[in-house]
Amino acid sequence: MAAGDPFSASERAALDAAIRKAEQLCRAEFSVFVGRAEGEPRQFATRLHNSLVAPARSILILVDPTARAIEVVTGAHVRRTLSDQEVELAVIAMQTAFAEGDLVGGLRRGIAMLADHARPPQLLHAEDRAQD
Amino acid sequence: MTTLKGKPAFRRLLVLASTALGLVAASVALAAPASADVPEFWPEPDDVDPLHALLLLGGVPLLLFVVITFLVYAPSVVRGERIAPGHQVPENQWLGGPRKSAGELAGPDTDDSEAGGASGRW
Repeated sequence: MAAGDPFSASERAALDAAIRKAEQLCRAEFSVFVGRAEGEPRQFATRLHNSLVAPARSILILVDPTARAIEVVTGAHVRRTLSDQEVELAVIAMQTAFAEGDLVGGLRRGIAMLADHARPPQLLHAEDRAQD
Repeated sequence: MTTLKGKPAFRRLLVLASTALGLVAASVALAAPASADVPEFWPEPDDVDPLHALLLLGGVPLLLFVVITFLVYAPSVVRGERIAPGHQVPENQWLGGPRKSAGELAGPDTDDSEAGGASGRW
C-alpha cells in the first residue's frame, strides 16, 4: 500500500468486485470517491456526480474520512427504483461500519444495499405477456 | 525416587550458581587495574581536546542520524508523499469515476436538480 492510499491492493480488488456485482444487479453505474471533499461535502458530491459519464443512471458514494462525512447522490433515472429513504438505510449501515473503523467493509455493505434496493422490480410472466 | 534424583540436580545448580558468582566477582576484581594509572615506562598520552572529543562522540552519531534519516525519507519526499507522522492525509481515490482533477469537475446541482440521495456523519 502506498503512503496515503487508504486501500491495499486486495481491498481495492474487493471494492472493484463489489461495484461490478452491484452494477450487474441493478443496471446502474456505481462510483465511489474516498478522499477530502472540497468545500461543503454535499455540493462537492454533486459536482463529482455531474462529472460522471451518465449522471442520471449513476450512484455516487462520497466518503470523507477526515470530515467523517458520507454523501450518496443518485441520478434521476436511478431514483425511479431507489428512494431516498432506501439510500438513508444504506448510509446508516455505512456509518455503523465506518464508526467501527471498517472502511472497506462499510463501503461493500453500502454498495450491496444500494444495488439491492435499486434493482428493478421483477415482473412475473413479463415474457409471456410480451409474447401475447 | 524423585527426591533421590532431585538432590544431585540441586547440587549441580548450586555449583553452577557459585561458579557464575565467582566468575563475576573475579571479572570485577580484574577489571579494577584497567582504571589504574599509566605504567611508568609507557609514553604519556596527549591531553584530549574537549571540543574534539565532543565532535567525535556527539557529531559522528548525529551525522549518522542525519544520513540515515535522509536515506529513509528522501524517496518519499521525491515521490511527493506526506511524511509527517500521525498526520497522513489519505489520497483521493475515485473508483469508477473519470480521471479528472477537482478543477475540471462539473458544477454542483442547482435547486431544480432531480438528483436525490442522503447524507450522514459518523
